[in-house]
Amino acid sequence: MAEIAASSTVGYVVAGYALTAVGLGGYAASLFLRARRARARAAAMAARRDR
Amino acid sequence: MNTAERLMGKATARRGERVLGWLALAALTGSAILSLIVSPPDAEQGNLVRLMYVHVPAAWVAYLSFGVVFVASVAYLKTNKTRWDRLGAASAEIGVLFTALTIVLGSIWAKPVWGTWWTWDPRLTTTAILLLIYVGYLAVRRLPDSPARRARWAAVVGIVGFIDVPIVHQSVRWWRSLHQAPARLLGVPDIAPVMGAALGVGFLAFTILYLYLMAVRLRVGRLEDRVVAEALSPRLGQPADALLEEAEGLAAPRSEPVGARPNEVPARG
Repeated sequence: MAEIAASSTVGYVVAGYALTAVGLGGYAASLFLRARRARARAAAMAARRDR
Repeated sequence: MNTAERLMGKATARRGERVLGWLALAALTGSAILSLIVSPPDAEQGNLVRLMYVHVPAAWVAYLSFGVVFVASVAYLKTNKTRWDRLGAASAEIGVLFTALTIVLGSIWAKPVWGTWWTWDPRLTTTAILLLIYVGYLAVRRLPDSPARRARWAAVVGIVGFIDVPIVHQSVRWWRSLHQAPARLLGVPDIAPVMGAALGVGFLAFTILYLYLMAVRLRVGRLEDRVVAEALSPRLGQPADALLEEAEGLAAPRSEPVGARPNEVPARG
């Protein structure tokens, strides 16, 4: 494998790490959103039932 | 279990989740420092070697996730307990995320090194098949069927699908592949110690992150099951808590329509 110039590959490295951060962070955020929605829905249903 | 014990259990679980979250963040920060700053560029790959510090741990977490799906699927078929089904569903979702990440990172690395984003190499092809299998697993979980039967089908896919994991791993040895064979980290390592350390911390960080995401995803699963139980509670004339507790121990497969039996309530993914 020929040596690859460092300057020409920085963009690929930045893209890889950025996509990893966005993917993992986005998934974690979506889980928190799902948890909040489910908790709110369950509470609303319980309140309606108890009325 | 009385209310105090249940509340205590929930508090401990949330505290454990928070501790895992901070641990994951610290480990990921350490991994980023080692990978991006401490580790030198590779003699041949240059800076692109830094992508390996996330690509390889992501692949490891994908294997780990699908291993957990396999164990949970076997346990579900054996016991019919909803908690195993929920564990399998959570792990499959995370496994799909990490498999997709593995493929994307590999593709970004391949463009400057191999000159192409994608090639039908055995390792790449078997990994793509792995992704499709577990996307299929998640699709099975959304079929309009009785939750217990759906969980059973998903468990079968979770067991059969796992066959592809050793095939992916061995593909670079079994067939002629562009993809390099795995680097040896144990015994006499065949990479520089600082690079081995960056890779090792990456493995640790991603494993802790997996555990953290699992803890959060399992909590989401329990909350979503509660929504279903609350919805069915008036129809079945039983408290939601009783429906949930019954389903935890008695999620036996039934042929009646959804909600006809309390033990069908929470098998959702």
